[in-house]
Amino acid sequence: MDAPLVLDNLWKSFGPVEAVRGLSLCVPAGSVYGFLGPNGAGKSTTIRMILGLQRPGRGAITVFGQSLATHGPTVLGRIGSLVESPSLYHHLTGRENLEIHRLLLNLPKRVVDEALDAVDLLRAANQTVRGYSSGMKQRLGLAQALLGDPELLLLDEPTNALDPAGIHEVRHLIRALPNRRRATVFLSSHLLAEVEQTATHVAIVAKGQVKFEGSAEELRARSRPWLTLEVDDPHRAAALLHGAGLAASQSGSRLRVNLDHQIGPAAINRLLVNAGIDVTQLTTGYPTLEETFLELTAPVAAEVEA
Amino acid sequence: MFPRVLRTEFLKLRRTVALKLALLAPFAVTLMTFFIASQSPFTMLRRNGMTNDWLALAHLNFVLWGLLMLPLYITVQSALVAGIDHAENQWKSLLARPIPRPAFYIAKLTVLMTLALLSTLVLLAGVFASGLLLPYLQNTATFHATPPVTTILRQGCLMTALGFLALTLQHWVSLRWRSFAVSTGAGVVAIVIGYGMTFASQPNGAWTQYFPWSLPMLVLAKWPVNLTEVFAFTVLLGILSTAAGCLEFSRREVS
Repeated sequence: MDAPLVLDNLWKSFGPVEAVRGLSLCVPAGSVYGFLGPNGAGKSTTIRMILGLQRPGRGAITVFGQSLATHGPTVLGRIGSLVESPSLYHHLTGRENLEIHRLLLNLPKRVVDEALDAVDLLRAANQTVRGYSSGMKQRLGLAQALLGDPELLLLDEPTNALDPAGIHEVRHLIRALPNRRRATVFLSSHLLAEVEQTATHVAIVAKGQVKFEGSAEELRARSRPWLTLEVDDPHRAAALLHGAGLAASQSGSRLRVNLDHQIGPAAINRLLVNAGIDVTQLTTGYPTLEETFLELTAPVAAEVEA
Repeated sequence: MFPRVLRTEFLKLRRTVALKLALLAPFAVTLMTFFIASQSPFTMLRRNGMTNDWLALAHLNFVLWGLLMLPLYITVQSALVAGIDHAENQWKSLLARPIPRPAFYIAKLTVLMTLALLSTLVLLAGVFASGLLLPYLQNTATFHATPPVTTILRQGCLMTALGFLALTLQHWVSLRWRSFAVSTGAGVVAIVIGYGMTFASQPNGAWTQYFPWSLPMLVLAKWPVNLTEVFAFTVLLGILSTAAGCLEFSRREVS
């Protein structure tokens, strides 16, 4: 089975600014693929290129084994999308908004009510969108994207403007999509928590380049565990650890050491105790996904600041 | 596929100013001419040697329509219809659908042409209604029982049809620039130039009569004009302008 989405060495410039720089990724079928990056990382530009709204300067986009460049209309028929804020006609009712997209997709009439029901908007279907709350508009945008059960769903910041209950609801819906509708979800977000709670696979993008691609577990596994020590002589302990090839950061009487596979907590404890240093507390842990994300994107942030 | 896109375009017109304008603009013209005709001696309308009061009344309506209202109508209506999709940047969801882009461009133009036709029919209905009511208000009016329906219909429809080239150009401008001000501003400039061109073509006709915004007034020209040729010229250039607009629209990037 062809991967729902493959991006190969994608480039896009706006004048002198390179928004996307050789971006490559592969989205596995049935996954919720988190496309994570800080604002300005090139996420929305990438999504616009996948939808044919913008043309890549270089590179190839393949959707279900077909090139977007040569099979545009066929390919777009299999994709549903919600790009940033939903595009809605405020003077039309919720039902009329979906009717427009139903006609464009040549779908049976019943799909409109099904989509409205899926996002719990059936009762407000005949109200004009002008009277909808932000959350209702976002849900209607999602219904628009879900119309016709697309095999690939591109969602760009789908929980924008939602209250906590709305965010919870949308995340629940996204998680359920691969099983309920057999859809692959490509979820772009700058919110780590969103991706952490919904994605099975993650790509971290910064300054138009992919910094990491893999499963959420692989991302966690990539992050090295740390060890926090409370000692009576932190300066001497730090020097000892440094001599053993371990970088330690000091904060008061505490030291934080990034562990590698060579030296474990027990060996470090033994090293310090044998040197006459009292270890009063020893804690191991893993960095959060947020810390890993910051670590992966930090050099780029520094470049931007420079 | 195209009929489905066209249906979506008509669906979008619901509850819009564009739809109301299609009825109100011609109604305003007929109401104004009815007011003028009911207040002044009707002989005032029988200038240029006109002996048929139906034709005199239609002529007054067509002057106001062709010179003033139709060019303004084309400008505002194009901006309003394009504005439906410029608002909220509808393009990012519409153009991500499996529909060739020219279908959207041509469907919108078809909507504009339909609205212009609807307005023309309202104008013509207004002419006939005014002619039926005026004899009760104007003693000097001598309307024949049978109006020259074919002549009036032909003149009214041809006048709007000759606005086709201006409509295609204004349609492109409205879709090209998101700003309502840019679209209407360009239209107003074209209208003002059109007035100049129309007056410059007096009294015997000159090349200036072929300026796109001046073409509708050729229906009322006092000098001999081959309207069939002018109509063919309008349609041909209108099609070329639409083809160029489609090409540009298809290549455009959506931000």
